[in-house]
Amino acid sequence: MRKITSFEKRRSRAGYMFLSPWIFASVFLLTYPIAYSLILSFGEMKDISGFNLSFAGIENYKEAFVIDDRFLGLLLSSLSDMLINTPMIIIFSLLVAIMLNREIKGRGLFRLVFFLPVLLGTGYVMKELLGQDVQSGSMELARGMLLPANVREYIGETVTGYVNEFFNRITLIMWKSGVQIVLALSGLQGISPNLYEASKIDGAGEWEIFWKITLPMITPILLLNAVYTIISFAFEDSNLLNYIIQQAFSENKFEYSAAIGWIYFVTVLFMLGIVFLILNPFIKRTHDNT
Amino acid sequence: MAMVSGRGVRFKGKYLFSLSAPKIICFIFLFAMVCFTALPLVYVTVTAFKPIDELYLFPPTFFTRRPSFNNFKSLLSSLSGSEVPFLRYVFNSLFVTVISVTISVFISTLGAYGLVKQRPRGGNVIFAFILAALMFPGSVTQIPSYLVVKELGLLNSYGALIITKVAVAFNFFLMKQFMEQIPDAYLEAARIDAAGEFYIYAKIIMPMMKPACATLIVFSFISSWNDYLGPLIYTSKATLKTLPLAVQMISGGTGAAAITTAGSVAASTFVMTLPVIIVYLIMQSKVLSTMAYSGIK
Repeated sequence: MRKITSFEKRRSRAGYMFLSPWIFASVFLLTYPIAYSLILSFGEMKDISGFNLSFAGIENYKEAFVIDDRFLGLLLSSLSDMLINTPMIIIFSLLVAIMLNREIKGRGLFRLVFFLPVLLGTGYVMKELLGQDVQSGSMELARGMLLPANVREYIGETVTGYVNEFFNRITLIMWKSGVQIVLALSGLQGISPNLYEASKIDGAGEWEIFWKITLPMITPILLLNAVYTIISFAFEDSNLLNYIIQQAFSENKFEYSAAIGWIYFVTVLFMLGIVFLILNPFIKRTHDNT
Repeated sequence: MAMVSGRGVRFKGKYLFSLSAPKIICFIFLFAMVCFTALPLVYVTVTAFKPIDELYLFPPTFFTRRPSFNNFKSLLSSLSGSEVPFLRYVFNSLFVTVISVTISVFISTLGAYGLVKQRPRGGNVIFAFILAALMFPGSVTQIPSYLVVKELGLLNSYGALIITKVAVAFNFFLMKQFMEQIPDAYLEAARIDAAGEFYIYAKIIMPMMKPACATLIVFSFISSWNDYLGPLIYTSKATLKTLPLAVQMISGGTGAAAITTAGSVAASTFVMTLPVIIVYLIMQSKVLSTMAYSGIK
């Protein structure tokens, strides 16, 4: 008994030795900044040049909800964006993954192109590509091809507006579902062919197979996709994040920026919790199925 | 003789590919989607090679008639409003990205090995913290990070750009997921043969982790290469700025000015996307297979 404990102690020490570079780096650049931003959010800056901080209680949080007239609107709009886009991305990625999972010519190329947005999709290039110049140009072309100008004149302003909105959203969803498609694809490939074979012998059609086998089997991946989508939305350039950054760096309201950052973080966590609660009952726990 | 029949194209008695209604619908749908995704990229590429007079055409044409390298040349020779040559930005980006990716891969794999295979006491706490940090938007912690960098005396140096990209919660999480798939039996066999723990890490774990490392390299390369806020905050010297800032500087104008710079903007965007695609293509097969394997980005 004693021998095992000393062996485990040694292992434990070795483990920390291996972890030490990571811990060293993350204490400085992860732990400390997060903790400090929490402290900052409860404080009030007395003197910016010296970073003189005094405790202010929940003043900053109160300001976010009571005084600031922009923050709540931005928070709600980014939440509603999340609510609309997340289901659409999940459904779309599942659809594409099912198609990519079939024996189809040029599958490799399709996969590369669908993954392309992930490669370029973070940061400035994304903004540049989807930004004013390029998007309006290419979108104009796409619209022109699908909806010639005289048709547009005929059907009128409102419908054109809806069509444009529709295409914009489709491009957005296309550009944000690269990883989800790959995940869904991996989920589909994890479903045992035996199940399909057995159901075909029992006379199930494609439609029934989808609802009775594919969908129930892929629910864990759908949950993963939902979580991933929400987190990536939280990180992506949104008006809210820009507002948080702007509050800190242009307005020099560091404490306030930290406070709304934390509100956002807690809201995202809350959303994740809700998604988890909703989807959890549907998840099939299969242990012995590969 | 190729024969087209209801069931497909037949060649020498074999079906080259079968045609069936669902398949054709599938193909058309996917193809349309691909066009949508690839369109902006194709547009940027084409614009980058357009000569200046074609940029002024109205209505704008999609494809260029006479491709030219003028946009790239003007990018190399002069950059309006900047005293630093464009290549310097490319070098800065490459330098910072390569070093930070290397360090990040090293400490993440090392740490994941320690956490998963040595099972230190309190490991759960560390992992729980990493999970929480994963969901924390990075831009919120910019100011404390800035203070840390300032205290370390690294403002306006490559060091600031590198160390801030080293400890990334996501990288550690990814490595931990992969590490868990390596059976303990390998380690036990090596220990019986009296291999040291670091020897096991370097000679047994790392070769098996190659696909995982490829995935990590692609993702951390993307995030480091495209990082915009970091260099903006930590550096004020023009000689230290990276490509995203250069692209933004070039695209600074709007309206009429935007047309004159559209060519160089497209060219610089093209230069910026190229390395990412190259890195991905090198690592491609590995990335997709490991992602399918672990079920995580």
